Amino acid sequence: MPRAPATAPLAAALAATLLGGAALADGQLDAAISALRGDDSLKVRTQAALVLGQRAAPEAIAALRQAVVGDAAAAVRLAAVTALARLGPRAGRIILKGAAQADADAAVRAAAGRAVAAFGPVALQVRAAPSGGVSGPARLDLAATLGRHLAEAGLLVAEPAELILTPTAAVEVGRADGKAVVAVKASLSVVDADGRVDLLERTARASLPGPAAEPRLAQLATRAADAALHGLCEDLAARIAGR
Amino acid sequence: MATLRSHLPLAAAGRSAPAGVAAVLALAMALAVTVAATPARAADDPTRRGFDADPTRFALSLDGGFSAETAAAADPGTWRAGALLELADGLMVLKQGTARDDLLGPRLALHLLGGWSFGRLELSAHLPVALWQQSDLSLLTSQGVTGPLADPIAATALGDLRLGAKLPLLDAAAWPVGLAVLGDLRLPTGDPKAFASDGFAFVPSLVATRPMGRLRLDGQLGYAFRGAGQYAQLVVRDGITWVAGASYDLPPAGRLTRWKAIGELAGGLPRGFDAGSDRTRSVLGLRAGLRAFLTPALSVELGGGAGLGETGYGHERWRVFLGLRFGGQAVQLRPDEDADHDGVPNAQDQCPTTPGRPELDGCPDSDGDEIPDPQDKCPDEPGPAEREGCPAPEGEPLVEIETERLSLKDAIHFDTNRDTIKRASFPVLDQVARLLVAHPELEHLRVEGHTDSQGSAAYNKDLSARRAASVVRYLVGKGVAAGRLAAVGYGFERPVATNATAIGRAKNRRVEFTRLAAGAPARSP
Repeated sequence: MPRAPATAPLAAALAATLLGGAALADGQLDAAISALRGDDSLKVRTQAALVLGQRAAPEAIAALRQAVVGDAAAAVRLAAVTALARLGPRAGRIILKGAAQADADAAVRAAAGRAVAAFGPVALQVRAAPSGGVSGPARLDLAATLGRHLAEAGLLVAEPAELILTPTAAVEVGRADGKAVVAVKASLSVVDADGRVDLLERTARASLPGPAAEPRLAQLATRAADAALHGLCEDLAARIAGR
Repeated sequence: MATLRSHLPLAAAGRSAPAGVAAVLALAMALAVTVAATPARAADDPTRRGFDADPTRFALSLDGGFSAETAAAADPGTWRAGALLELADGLMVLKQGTARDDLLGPRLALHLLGGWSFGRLELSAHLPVALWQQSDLSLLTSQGVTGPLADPIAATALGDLRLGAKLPLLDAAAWPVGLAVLGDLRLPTGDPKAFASDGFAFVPSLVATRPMGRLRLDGQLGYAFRGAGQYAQLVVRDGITWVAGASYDLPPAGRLTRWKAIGELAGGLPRGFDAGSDRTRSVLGLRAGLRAFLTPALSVELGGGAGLGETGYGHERWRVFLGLRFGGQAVQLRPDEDADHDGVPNAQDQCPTTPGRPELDGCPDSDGDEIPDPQDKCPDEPGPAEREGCPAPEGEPLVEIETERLSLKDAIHFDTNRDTIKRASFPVLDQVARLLVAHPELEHLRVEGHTDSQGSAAYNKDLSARRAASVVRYLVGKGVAAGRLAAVGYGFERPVATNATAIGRAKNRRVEFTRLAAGAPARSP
């Protein structure tokens, strides 16, 4: 890419930012994004990342992520890390966590690690499945139970959420060896701000000797669902720690 | 036991012993190897001495056992130094009829060892010093023997400096056994009259090693070229030497994370050895002990041993030894060279002294999970990159409740460079299909294939598209509505971590499920 056309609007964008945050025209934002993506000069790319960080423009998220992950110059990656950190955890957490672990440059790893730490805990939101999400002969309030276990596990439920959680459960009732057995297969869909989906599943089986009377089965189902959702919260906490 | 004969060379040589004493001496004298049945030869000189009372030697290899060498050269740039104190008793025994007297022993010796490995060659040195040795010639002097035969034996003596060079021929990682040739040059720096020198000697040998998990077997067969030494009837000369050893890495105990048990059998057979004669003696002895690493660079060792057979030259009564070894790595590696010969130059090699795979930046991957060992928090157990190479934990047992677990990200694996899903991933995908049916709120999903940046963009994009399509095909076959899923291959266009490092690339090789913007939570059941 020719250098002059990219740097001129960029200089203008930088001046505009320094002059007190006047809104950039779309064209200027685009120029900074394309400079970050393709300018030959690492100084220009670094400046572009800094400008985009100061603007905190959501349109720049993709280009900033790409710079953190793929720019050959550590200075550019460092500037892009700072910019993504300003755009918040929904925009930056996964990429910055990856950079903190895997970037080849120690300064980039350290800056990314600090940014992730500054994001604080991952904010979660529970959204009940349509029709409650329970299949089988049991009535369970999965969303409420999940909310309780999230709180017990020390996970943050807040908005705007980085992860949307939807629980479902399949309940099966049976008898084996003179015992009443209720199996609850509980699962959780976990969708992040980019729409990326993860699925977790746990099965819990609760049994009691004696006849399978209705109140007893309800008690077993509640107990099994409780255990399964507790396990799902553990898995989720581990997944969040490793994200 | 054989008795002496009057024609024994002591009498013939009789340099300073009075003629009258010669016969007495002949009757009186014998080393542990009592008496020669063969007639004396012209070259015989019973007063010559000129051999080391202890025919066994500590190993020269940096990573060897006590006396057993090992075939592999240590990592290039590794150096090591060691100091061992050894106390051995019954090294030489005089015998007359049924009377026996220790001629030499106990001997307290200091062994200084050093070595350096560069490229394929390993160089080493060993200097033994007899700090103190007790000798007892009273069996001779009480018979009136004087002269060179009864010359006092110095209590302190320098031994022969040894210089070793080892060249590995076969690598045990690629062949059933590792093989190396070792040249052991012994310079006559020792005191031959104090039984501390073999004179100039060269001992070429072949070393074989077979690692078997925690166990390592080492064998050495060589030939000692040397001049003859003699004392009274005992002639020590050129011949075969051999060692068989085993070392076993013991499980961690308390603070000891790395320690091993070592056991060895060492022997020798001089040229012309005749079991029916006592003129020459074979060598046979056992050693066993422990070596514990206090730090990666510092180890301490303690062991003991004993000769097998009748006590005397080559069959000491007992020995104990205690030592420290210290070693590390030389830091200066030339950036344009390839110290570990793994095809990755030192400058790019994250593990410059350990051979590894080029796609893992030259680092090894012991558990085959594509995460190089230095970054792998569980290098011996395969695990996904999301868990830093550690396996998913076992389900927490509940008293009345069984748990199973699944996570989508844990694993969809494909055959290398192909779009076929590995059989091991089928159960995971079966569960994924069931869960997608159970989660109608995920109305429309994009199944995304992603690769790392190895190879061309077009190739990776095509491969990732075909892999994503394979996953969609499988899920549809398991009952997920085809209209919910769209397969897209992104190649390496959307990395989540740097492609500059192996762990980053492992994070980038993935299948992702993304809820499409249009797929807002469904309102209908």
